[in-house]
Amino acid sequence: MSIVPEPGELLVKCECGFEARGKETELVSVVQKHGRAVHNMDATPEQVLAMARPA
Amino acid sequence: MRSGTPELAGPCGPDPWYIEVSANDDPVEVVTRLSGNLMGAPLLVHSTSWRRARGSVILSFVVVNRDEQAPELTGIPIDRAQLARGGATTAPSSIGYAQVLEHGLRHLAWLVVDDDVVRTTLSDEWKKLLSEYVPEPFRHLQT
Repeated sequence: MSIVPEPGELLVKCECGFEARGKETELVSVVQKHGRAVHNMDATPEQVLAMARPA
Repeated sequence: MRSGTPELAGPCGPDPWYIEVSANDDPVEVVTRLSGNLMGAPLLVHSTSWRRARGSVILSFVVVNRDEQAPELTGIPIDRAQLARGGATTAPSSIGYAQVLEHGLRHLAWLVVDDDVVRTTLSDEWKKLLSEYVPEPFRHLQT
């Protein structure tokens, strides 16, 4: 099985090893949830997107 | 603890787990709350050291889980390490996480003798393990 990223998908890699990929809105939500739950961090959408790279 | 061997594990894998603490947060409360949320209620939470790194002051905590707790987490055996040593009035020039962990366990080794809460909270298996973290010249003082 191969995972081929869809056009426009973004990838965020957290320093802790957590990875999330998806379209912008979905990705921001997933990464914000991870930040709050695991690192007690409240990241803004802009901060999340600053970490994102094309998938 | 797995079969008598302490393991390093956590929500971020067998690595240090970094948590942000704001100016108004109580660090102990945050560590205890997040540990409980992600791994189940911890047996013991204790702050053992601090250092400056990553542009911040980092408080180190040892969180002890129950043996049967969070078995889904990948753990790696904790090896002994040399402590990071500073000068008489200066901090060590660099501190690795294995050294932080070694310091934390040595700290617990002292507390398990000196502190009633730690002594009554940790299991005999933990006490046996921690006795190895007491510097040899002082081990006879524990009895």
